[in-house]
Amino acid sequence: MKLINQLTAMVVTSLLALSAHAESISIERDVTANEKIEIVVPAGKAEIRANDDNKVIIIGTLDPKADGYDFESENGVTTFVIKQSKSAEYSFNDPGSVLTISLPKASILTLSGTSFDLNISGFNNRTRINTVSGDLVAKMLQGELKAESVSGDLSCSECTGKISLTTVSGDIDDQQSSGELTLQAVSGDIETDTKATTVKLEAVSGDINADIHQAQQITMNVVNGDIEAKVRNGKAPEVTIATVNGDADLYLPADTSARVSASAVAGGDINNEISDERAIEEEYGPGSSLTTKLGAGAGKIEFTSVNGDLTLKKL
Amino acid sequence: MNDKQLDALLEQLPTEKQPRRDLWPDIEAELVDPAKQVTPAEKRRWLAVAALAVLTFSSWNFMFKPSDDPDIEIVINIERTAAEQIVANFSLQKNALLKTIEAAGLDISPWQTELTLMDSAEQDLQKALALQPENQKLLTMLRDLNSKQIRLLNTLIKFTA
Repeated sequence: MKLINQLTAMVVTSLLALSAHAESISIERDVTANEKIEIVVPAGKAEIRANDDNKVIIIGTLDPKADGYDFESENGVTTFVIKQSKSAEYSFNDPGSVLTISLPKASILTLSGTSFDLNISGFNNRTRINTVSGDLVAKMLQGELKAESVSGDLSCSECTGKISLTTVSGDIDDQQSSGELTLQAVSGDIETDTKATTVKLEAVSGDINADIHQAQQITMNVVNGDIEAKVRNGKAPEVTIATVNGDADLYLPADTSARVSASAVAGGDINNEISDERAIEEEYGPGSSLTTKLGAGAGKIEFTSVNGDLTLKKL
Repeated sequence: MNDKQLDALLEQLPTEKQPRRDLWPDIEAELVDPAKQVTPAEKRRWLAVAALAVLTFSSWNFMFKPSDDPDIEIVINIERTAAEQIVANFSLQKNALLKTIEAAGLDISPWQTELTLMDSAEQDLQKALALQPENQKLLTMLRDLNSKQIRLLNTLIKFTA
């Protein structure tokens, strides 16, 4: 316990020491309504809000380990780059820059950093975000959102438009999105509760948990992760699910109208809990397959698995 | 009509059927029709075509002879299965990216688990394709997986450089 207290005291002291040396920053500039804005913050965190005033406003404290910053604004293009000291070695406890940024809501944004946590909301044009280990919290973005991270968690709520979130080992959480949704993770998990019209979800070893309210075009694939998907629009869904070793549970409403074709090539089980047809096992191989028609068979549902189990369930 | 009834009807059919007329004259005419005999001029034309084909093949073989350098080896092997062709093309891309990573001194060891897992899944897919070599869905899955592997390597290069 004593050791923990000592460590905590050291961390707090270090943080205070660093913040004591943090340089304050305050910038305000008039720009165009749909200004192209690029912001680079190697380490730190930022709250980024949209304004109706066509202004760029940046306030906060600069990373004590940074070598100053560049700010330029002309011809509809604004850049704000915090210069990272080449000699600086960052650790988990470094606070980095702490910024509050206000930008025109129709700005075309490119935001990037290494360990850069972002909380962004209210924009309606095109937003590109790249972080290595930083986390993203996006809320009520419209237009186009493309976020990419290596180990950062990506969270998005009430976003509308063309949404693409990609991470390697981080998790993805999407709530109430609409438009076109693409979520991709490698070892991270994906969770979505979406009203999007087209949905594409991909994971390698992460799991997918999806509640899909409106989409008819749905693609989901995993390698080793599991899928649990609720497809609530049963009118004529076009669903493609592929898994190598992971299991997939697909929940469908009672009024679903679709032809179902499922195959497990090398040993996965196919369980049908929504109609009378049962999977047929190959006579001379490990595979099995199932075809069944639900309702009038307007849509198409395709399950393909190598070793994973596939289960159709009632919603 | 059930299968047994169909089989019974098939049994009643004759095992041989003669043509309604003698076809040999027509066949003979086709074989020795003087109008269809190759003239010397045509022979020369065919020889020219054959020579051109030999020349083209030789040039092709010379230009695309597999190099000692695996980076510039062109994967053309009509005897490969579709899966093998996909994997061969993927291996070229993957090796090129791994060389880039090595040359730049990038540390991708934190993501070795993910890379190994994808390699393992690729092997599972190849085993499944050995059972069903023409299964288009499995081939699509293999292509998708390879795309993911390439995308991951590109992402790691982009972010760790």
